[in-house]
Amino acid sequence: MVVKVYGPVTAACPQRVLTCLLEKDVDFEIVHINLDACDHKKPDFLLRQPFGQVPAIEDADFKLFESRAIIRYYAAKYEKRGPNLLGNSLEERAVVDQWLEVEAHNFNELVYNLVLQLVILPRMGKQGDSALALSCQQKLDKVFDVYEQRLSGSAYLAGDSFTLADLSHLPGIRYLVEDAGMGHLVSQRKHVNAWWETISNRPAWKKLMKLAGY
Amino acid sequence: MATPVKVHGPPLSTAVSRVLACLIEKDVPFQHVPVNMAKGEHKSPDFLKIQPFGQVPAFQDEAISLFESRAICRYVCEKYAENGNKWLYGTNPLAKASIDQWVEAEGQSFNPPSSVLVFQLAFAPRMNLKQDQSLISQNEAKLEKVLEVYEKRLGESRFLAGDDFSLADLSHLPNAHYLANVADRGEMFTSKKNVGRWWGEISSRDSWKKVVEMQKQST
Repeated sequence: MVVKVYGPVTAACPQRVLTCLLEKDVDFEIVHINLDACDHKKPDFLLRQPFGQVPAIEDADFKLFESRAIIRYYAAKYEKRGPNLLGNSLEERAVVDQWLEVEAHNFNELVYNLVLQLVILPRMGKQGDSALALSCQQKLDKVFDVYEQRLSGSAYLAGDSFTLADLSHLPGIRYLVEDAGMGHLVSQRKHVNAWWETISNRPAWKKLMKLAGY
Repeated sequence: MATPVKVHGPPLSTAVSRVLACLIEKDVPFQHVPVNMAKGEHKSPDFLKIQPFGQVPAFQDEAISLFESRAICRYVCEKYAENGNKWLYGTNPLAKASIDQWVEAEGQSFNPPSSVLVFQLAFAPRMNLKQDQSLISQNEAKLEKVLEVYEKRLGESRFLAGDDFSLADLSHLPNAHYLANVADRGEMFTSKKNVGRWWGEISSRDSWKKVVEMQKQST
């Protein structure tokens, strides 16, 4: 039985889930959702995800939405398979959760708004708000300063191993570096840059990049 | 009686009160450590050691130093699984997944617009800051859409994640409390049958009443 992942393979939040499933060697099927055609706002899809967002998953009778809830579930379900994405002790798991929350609340909204203004709106032929983009960039600079300090003391955000905390950043940083022209935020910081090089060279992420056609 | 569990930050902070509510639900004794944000204590070198983003809360016990209110809540629930409310974070993986889903919904869909409204309507006046009416209208409209989703969900189950009060509901208490009791936006909840019923239930829990009391005492 494969896990069905509803969403385009090129969108950040489905990518978060797909990377986790690839890391854990869990078979999946991508059910494409056409965001341009507003498939995600249609009644059928709203039954799966009532906020009209991607992704949603279906695993036999089990259904779930919110990418960070989905990755927590599969990382725990397949804890003993592949890399341990959660940490070993209660304390290690809490630190992983802490940095996953940092990504969700200190990092994600800034990246989302920056990419929206600099990439998505222009692609739709609309004017991006450059003042908002600049403000996001300045705030993101401060967040990356904290990451730089953190990563000068450990190879990964939560400690010595790659975990959900690092994984959760992959889609957003890819957008920053490849699409938004913000690669310098990463490359100008020694430890952030080394961390990004390491995590973006993981086989699972590279497989996803192929699937996404990059 | 000294307890190693410490929560740093003002009870009036929504994120701090999220953690306080969880500790009280779980019957976990704790020490509250005030942080004077008006004096910039949360940006001091000492505080940045326990919360490098200069935000509240920060949490410590004998084993760990932690930040991010929702991560702290999950840790408290796991560590003190047998204390207080045993169902707060579920007792099996499927229950946990549903709770995580709605905690994420709170964090990603409810929190952003409600935080803006809480700041604009409850805090800005107290800080003598000018309110941004356009920001208020935009975020009222966003929050309204989120509450429509909740109305449907809460017609299907008693609480957000299922039949038991969980971290998912608890996570909403801080912002919703300010909206209903300080910002004069209670009607956003009470005008909807299911959301109104849910809000009435969760806000009258003993644990939340104790947090509100702590907030009153701290002013």
